[in-house]
Amino acid sequence: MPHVLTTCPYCGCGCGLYLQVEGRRLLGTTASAGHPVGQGRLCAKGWHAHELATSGTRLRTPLVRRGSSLQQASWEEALSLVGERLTAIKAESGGAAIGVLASARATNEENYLLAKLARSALGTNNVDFSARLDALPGLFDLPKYRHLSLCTAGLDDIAAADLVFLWQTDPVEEHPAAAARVLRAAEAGVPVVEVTARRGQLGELAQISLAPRPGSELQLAAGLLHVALSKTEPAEGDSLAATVANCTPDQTEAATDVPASDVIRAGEALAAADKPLVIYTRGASLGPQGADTLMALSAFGKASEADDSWCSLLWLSSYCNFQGARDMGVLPYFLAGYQPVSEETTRAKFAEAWGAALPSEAGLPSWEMLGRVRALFVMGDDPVSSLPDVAATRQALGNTDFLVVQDIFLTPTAEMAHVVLPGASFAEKDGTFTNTERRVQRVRRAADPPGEARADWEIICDLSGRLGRPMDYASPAQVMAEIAELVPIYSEISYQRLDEDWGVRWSLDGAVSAERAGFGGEGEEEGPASVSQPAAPTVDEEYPFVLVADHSLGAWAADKLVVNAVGLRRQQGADRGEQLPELWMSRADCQKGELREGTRVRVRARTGEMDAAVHVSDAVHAGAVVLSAVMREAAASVLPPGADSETGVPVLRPVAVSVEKV
Amino acid sequence: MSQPAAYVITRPRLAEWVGKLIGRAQVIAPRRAQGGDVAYDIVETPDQVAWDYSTSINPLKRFLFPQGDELLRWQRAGDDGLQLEPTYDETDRIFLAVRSCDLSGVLFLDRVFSREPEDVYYMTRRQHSTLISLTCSEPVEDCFCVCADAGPFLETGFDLQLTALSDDYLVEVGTEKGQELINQAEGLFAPAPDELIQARRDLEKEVEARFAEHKSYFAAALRKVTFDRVPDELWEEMADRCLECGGCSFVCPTCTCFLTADWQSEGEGHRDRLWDSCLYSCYTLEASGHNPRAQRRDRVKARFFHKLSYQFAKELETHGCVGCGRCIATCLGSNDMPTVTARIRRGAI
Amino acid sequence: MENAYLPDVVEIAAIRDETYDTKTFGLRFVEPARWEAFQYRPGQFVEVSLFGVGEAPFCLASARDGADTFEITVRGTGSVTDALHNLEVGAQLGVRGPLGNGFPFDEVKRRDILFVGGGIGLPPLRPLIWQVLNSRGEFGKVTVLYGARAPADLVYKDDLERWRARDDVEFMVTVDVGDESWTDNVGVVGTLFPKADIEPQATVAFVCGPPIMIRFVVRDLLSMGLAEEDIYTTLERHMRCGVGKCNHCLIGDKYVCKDGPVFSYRQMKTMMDPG
Repeated sequence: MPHVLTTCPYCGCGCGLYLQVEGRRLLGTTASAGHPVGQGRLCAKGWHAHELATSGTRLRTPLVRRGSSLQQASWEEALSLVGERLTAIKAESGGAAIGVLASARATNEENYLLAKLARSALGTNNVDFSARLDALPGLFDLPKYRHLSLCTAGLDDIAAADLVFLWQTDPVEEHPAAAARVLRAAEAGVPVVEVTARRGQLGELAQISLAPRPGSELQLAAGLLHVALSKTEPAEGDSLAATVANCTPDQTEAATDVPASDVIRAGEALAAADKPLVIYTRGASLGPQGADTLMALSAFGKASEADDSWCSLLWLSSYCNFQGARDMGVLPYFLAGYQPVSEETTRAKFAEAWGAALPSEAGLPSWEMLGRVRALFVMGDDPVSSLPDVAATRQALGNTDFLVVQDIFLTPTAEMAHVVLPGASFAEKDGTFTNTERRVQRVRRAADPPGEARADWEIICDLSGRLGRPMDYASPAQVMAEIAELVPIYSEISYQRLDEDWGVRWSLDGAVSAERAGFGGEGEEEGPASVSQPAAPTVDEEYPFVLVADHSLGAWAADKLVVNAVGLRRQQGADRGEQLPELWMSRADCQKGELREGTRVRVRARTGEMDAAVHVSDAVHAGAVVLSAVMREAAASVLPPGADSETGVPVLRPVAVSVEKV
Repeated sequence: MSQPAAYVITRPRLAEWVGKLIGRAQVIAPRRAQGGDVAYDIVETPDQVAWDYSTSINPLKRFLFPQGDELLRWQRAGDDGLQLEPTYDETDRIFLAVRSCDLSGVLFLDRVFSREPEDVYYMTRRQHSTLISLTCSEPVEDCFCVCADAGPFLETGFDLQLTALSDDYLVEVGTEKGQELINQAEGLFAPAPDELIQARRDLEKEVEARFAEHKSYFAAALRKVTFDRVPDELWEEMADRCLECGGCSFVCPTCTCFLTADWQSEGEGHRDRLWDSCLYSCYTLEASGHNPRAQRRDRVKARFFHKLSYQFAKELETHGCVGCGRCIATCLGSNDMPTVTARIRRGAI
Repeated sequence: MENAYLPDVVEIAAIRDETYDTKTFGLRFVEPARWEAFQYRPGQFVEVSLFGVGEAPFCLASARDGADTFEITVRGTGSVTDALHNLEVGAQLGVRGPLGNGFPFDEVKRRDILFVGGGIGLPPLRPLIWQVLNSRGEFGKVTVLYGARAPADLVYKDDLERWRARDDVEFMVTVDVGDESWTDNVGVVGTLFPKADIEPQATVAFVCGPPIMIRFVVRDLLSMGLAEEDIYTTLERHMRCGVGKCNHCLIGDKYVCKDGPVFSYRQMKTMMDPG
């Protein structure tokens, strides 16, 4: 079939697209009219999806480090080296000395196989993916957050909602398929409330725009809850109402700088809504107090008129198979399907199916794994680009005895590897992705991998054999059949069924209950346990601005799947070589400081300084200055990577800075 | 031409004829893809042609001006220096059962690419193409070809035009190339009886009446865009509704913006031509960093000036829209042609 | 059919450093017959291919005289220009052209000619200046005014000296910021106008330089009384295909690459384009 239906490889929305093929050559991409996610539409990334496969920068042969440089090698040489070194390190230091990073962009089948290889052949539970920080991090460590760990609402709930919150996210930048729906809702009169330091394009259509002082989002959420709950009779023993009892509009204004009148307006809208929907992304979860903020947001449904069947939280992932990577057990604490490694019955079930004993100790998350393992096998992940502390990540990777990277491009992580294995892009292999709303969808092979590159599942099978655990699959369909056997939430998934429809959403109720999936029970607490003081930095005369790392802004322009797709790179303006980081600053502040577009400025914080070029913006509120989070390496001295006090997860906190002309 | 200009072919014979065409050239026709969407696509057997389709998800330009197309290759061969070799596509293609709007789109591209200097890549493909259109009897929800003077029936531009009439297809000959195809298919076509020709005329009248409800207000929009009478605030509001996906450019049968990209490894390489969209923020970005259309408002305005102004309509014989309606289905925001012309006419969102 | 996208192969015959970031390349066609066909006028441009990197437009910076080479002057500002700067004599490139309309010449004979160049805006004027000087008797008064940011930014220092040495040309140069050895004019190029002897009604002006400089110079010339149709400039736009097909350089309904890049101020005023 010259038009091959497949799933977009960029964000977690998972729009359907056709690859146009002539012979084995990819000619272009067309949106699928009938697809339930894309609905005939694609964003710029989707329209250019074929370019990442046809890119001249693809890895075409295995590379092996000789001295200081990576040089071409045969598959035999590369894979036997990987097999020998991993076997040796396991023998010397045990499986726990090896770490495996899988990928939010590889297929379910590949993630499943790599997790299987890690646990059955390498004997390690150090299985994770660094892009996991895209969601509320650490949520599997702390049961009280577990119910927030996946998206309960769906994209079509945007059309059904009667009140939409955009919470620290700009869907136009991050999730255009969601943005299209929000735009239609707004045009149909649905009130949109935007909560952000940098107004996005949809902010033009928003009815209420709230700009909390960066770092005070939790206090704003609590303030809205306070207003909304005061409209209803408190239930007996309602701990939520008690928690936010002190968060009056005036208190909220004092804590967040959002005018009390706006707090009341938005809070009353929430109280009156039958179907309120909060759309959020990593912007919220990676902020300071991210976990408690999300807990507060999760209580919005309860504070409204919504009934129990309505899910009011729509979390959107930035990666095409973020959900699937987690579903497949690419987690230090779970086997596929969120079945705990600590449970003996679970381990026994997998051990029998896999024919190998499995380690029982939970593994390390990605941000702890680096620097503590002797060997690291990375498939399609790029911790240098994903983890907040770039310098520490590079240092840890540099100290790793043996680093293997399997990818389609020479990523910053791959550049440091001892062995690089060329994989296949989404257009060159069969498999499935699971989108942010749990829709399992087919990925279909439309062309051959370039040069000697091979599908990742084939590489894993080959390697597993070399590690003494032969894997014998004829196709990814067979892998999925095994997954359906072992993983209850995927028990109804088969390629045949996926081919009959536009994919299948695995269910939170029905055949597989939320409880069985590990999301119910003890995690049902609503709202934060308490509302702490804002994490907003204190500004003073010396450091009068608050600098925020914006996770929406420019995130795609730095993405390897964009940078290597030539038309898309031009579209994103990522073609201009080294540029100074852009500092978004309000027009009022620019006028005050006599700063113009492009003016070179020095940004000073208590910890250090950096240079940036001013971008005069009508979207940024006075007092805030905004930097794309992808610039965090250049900004490391002013935006020092820190760790969340509760979860230990790396975060970027807003800081007080000064901005002066150089 | 001395021979009759209209023929009739029965449905079973039509399939036989398509089989013969497939043996002779690459045949591109509406075809159901996985999932049920219909796309113009290469067909390998006559039964793959989706004769009952309403509209396809892709315009024909994908085959004549592909989204990614190699223009030339080079080699650096030792002392011989640089050897350049252009890459032409001389595949014979028969486009079968294409809708009138899409055929009109090709005629528009013909005018764009045949202007001096000719675009040799497009023209080469075009010279190896045969266009067999299929008239429309049912308007689709989104289309408005009558307003764009691009259907549902065509007078010229096709090599052959097919009209489904009860059991048979009426076949009108538009060019000698079309007549050749008839002549080569011995015994499959018969001269059309007068009643059939009359039936086609009656059908056209009936169909046009039904299509008349599908509107795009071009006249007012053309005038206001030409004389720059659209207030900036209105462009601004439309810009708020453009999410810069480029989809409108890519599904449009008449859009032709492109850029080129080079690839090279070990002494050889190639230059590709890729589709571009004038709505992309970096479309006019210069190497110096200067961007004359940095504002989205200005890009939206430039796009619709190109589509709707008399200045371009005069040069290209019509405004840049054939009424296929694909931009309605694909716009992430709401800047499709009928909505934009209606907004401009009203002067407000 | 002639393939408008297929470059001719040229060789770098000479490289001259103009400034710290600008070089002039002398280019020679590999096929002599193609050089024969390469007849151009000042103000036209070429698309230069660095195979594997891409294409970029450059104005033809030398008059076509007896030599078998032509020149382009390149400031390193982008991927193609940076790659060009790394090449050496003998390297092969691609060239498409000549493209665009070029400056009027016969049409402005017998008029006074005023050239105003700013920074890297001198290259498009240079061949026209020489063409006018080579037919000196057919023109009235000839004035060349050239401004740059700093002494280090001045290009074509040989030409500047030769123009300065001639008594049939009024030549002045200025820099925005001087240095210790600079004894000449300081200030933007517009500050030279009062010092030059310009008769507005008799004068045709050719102005090339950065957009902001053009804006101010045109304003000054208009206030001096020059007619809108007597002020010519070249527009900078992102010209890619060079033949009016890819649409990147469109301003209203004008293709800068095909209808321009030379426009009179009168034409420019009627060109509808935001930004």
